[in-house]
Amino acid sequence: MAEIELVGLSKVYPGDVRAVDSLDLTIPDHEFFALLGPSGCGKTTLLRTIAGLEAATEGQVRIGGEDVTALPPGKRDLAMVFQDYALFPHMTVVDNIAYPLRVKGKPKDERREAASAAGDELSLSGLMERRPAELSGGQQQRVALARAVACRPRVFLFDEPLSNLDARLRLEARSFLKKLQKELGVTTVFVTHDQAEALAMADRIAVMDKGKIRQVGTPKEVFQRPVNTFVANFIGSTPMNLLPGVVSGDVVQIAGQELPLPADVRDAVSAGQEVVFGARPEYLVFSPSSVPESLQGEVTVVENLGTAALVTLEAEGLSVAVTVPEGAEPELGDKGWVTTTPGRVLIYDGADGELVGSRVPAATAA
Amino acid sequence: MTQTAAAGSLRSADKAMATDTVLAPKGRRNGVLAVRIVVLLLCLLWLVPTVGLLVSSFRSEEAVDSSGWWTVFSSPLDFSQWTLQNYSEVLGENEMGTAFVNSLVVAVPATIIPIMMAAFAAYAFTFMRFKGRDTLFVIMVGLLVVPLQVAFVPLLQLLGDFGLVGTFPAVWLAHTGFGMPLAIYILRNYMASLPRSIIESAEVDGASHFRTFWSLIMPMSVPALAAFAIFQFLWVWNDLLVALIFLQTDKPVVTSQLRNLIGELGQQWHLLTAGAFISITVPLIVFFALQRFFVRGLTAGSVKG
Repeated sequence: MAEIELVGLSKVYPGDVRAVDSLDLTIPDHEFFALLGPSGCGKTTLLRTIAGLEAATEGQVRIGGEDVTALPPGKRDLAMVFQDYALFPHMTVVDNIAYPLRVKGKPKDERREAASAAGDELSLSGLMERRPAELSGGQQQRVALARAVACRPRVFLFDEPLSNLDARLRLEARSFLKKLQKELGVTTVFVTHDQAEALAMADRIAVMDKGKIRQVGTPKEVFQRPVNTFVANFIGSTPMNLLPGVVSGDVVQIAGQELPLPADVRDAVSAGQEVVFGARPEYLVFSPSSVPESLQGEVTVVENLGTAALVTLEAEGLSVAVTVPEGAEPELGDKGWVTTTPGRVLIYDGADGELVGSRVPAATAA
Repeated sequence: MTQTAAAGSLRSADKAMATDTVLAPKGRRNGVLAVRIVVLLLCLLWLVPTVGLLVSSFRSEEAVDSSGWWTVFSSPLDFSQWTLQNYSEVLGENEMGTAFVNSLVVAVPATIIPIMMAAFAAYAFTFMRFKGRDTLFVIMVGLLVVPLQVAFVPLLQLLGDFGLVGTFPAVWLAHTGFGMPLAIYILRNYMASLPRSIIESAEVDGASHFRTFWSLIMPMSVPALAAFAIFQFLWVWNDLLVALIFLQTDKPVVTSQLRNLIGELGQQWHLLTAGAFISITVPLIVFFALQRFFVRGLTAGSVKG
């Protein structure tokens, strides 16, 4: 168990492709840390650089205070679970789990014992003599986890371990994995492109884009207070509304209409400044009749979400999404008015997409 | 799912193909039938010379010299025309047993040595990073086009310097050299199709290249190894030229012994038919022992699983 520290870490591929771009990050001991981002953002490269499968171009990787940048993967005392599990097809489950211990030269009894303990922990006890091809996807995934668990490493690295599971199994595996990590207390870095997975499992999340970290924070911070439009757009099962507008006194003019500017950012913006008005569909209120300080539009799409519906309004070429509770769904072509919830509006700079004003109410005020 | 065994996924591919045929619509089923008939006809056509050889091997010398083998089919139940004389003559020949042993002494090491060396080379070409790797590989594969015959004189000189000419190691080395390009090519292509994450996983566990090679890559490459083993064994077993040139005449292999049998003018060729069938037995045993890997190994890496 150990803290992971990345200092000025870069990974540059031939052709000056900066997959990881001078990155500084500290992951404290015992933490479940998620690297989140769209494909090609460098998250897997970063994980592989921590593992040592890719050599860092610049900077340092430190595990438990020790500089491991120049060490081969096998000397870093970590375990990695791959997206495709990387099970050895010609070995039984127990041999698969015991393989890292065999490599480390542990005696046979110890190997067997550790493997069956890890197997029990992951409810594989009846399957120990089977081959990977005779297991279901979920079982294979647990074998891969057991292999990581059995050698009691300082660090777990997970490369999208849930993406090959079907939706229901993935939900089960999520809570299972989180529980397992808490029990073992091993520092864990988890790569995923699924923001819901990261929000559900991680203690902290780093959202990455183009080799850089765009925001680091707890799931709540990242969800409620994305610090730039990239993160705002990426996090959330329904993307945040990001409406371009212009500041005009106490209001923001959007598509010829006006929405109130949150009081706490009034000092941070100037009249005529171009901003992006950000509000999650869940935090907007739909009204079928005219209300003050609202945005008016025509209903063009109604998507059923089960307990609610996602309604899209068109207003002069702009689309605004808002969730409407069950039973109150409007008809297509209806007129609708949308109002904001105080404290749930984020204003981003129109030029660089960064969050304006840092004094928005605390993230925990749910 | 790439994580399933190479073997496993191939097995399921077989299964998928089987269900495919069963569930295929009628038009396609007719097509499949037509293909099968054509394949069957081709196989029969291909078998005709072998059948002729087999029939001839059971006929007497006069019969072989005076009429074609197909004439037996006019009265197949006339047992007086069948004889085991040819077989007993060939097997009664003292040298034949020695020739069999010699052939095995040549063929087994000449199969195992190139496979071992090529497997190491293929592993390096696939999983190790070093400068000039791809160029070296292309040169290696390019050697496939070098004809055997042009290498004989320099090879004889080289082996002569080491005093190896006429010995078994000379034939082993010659066959190893000639078999290597194809072996490396087949094995590297197969290994490149193995999931990379498996090797990386072993790397994270701290496994050395040597351990990765023996505990993971070799067991997972069995189909390709078997396919190449069959190729190489058949080639070496049937080879006459290399054995003639690099082995002394006191160590005849089966092919050269058969050649001695038929006489200088080919007047004894009825014996050749029986001899050929006797010599086929060993390759047949090898083929059937390894055949379940054979097709699988040949198509390895050509289809993405």
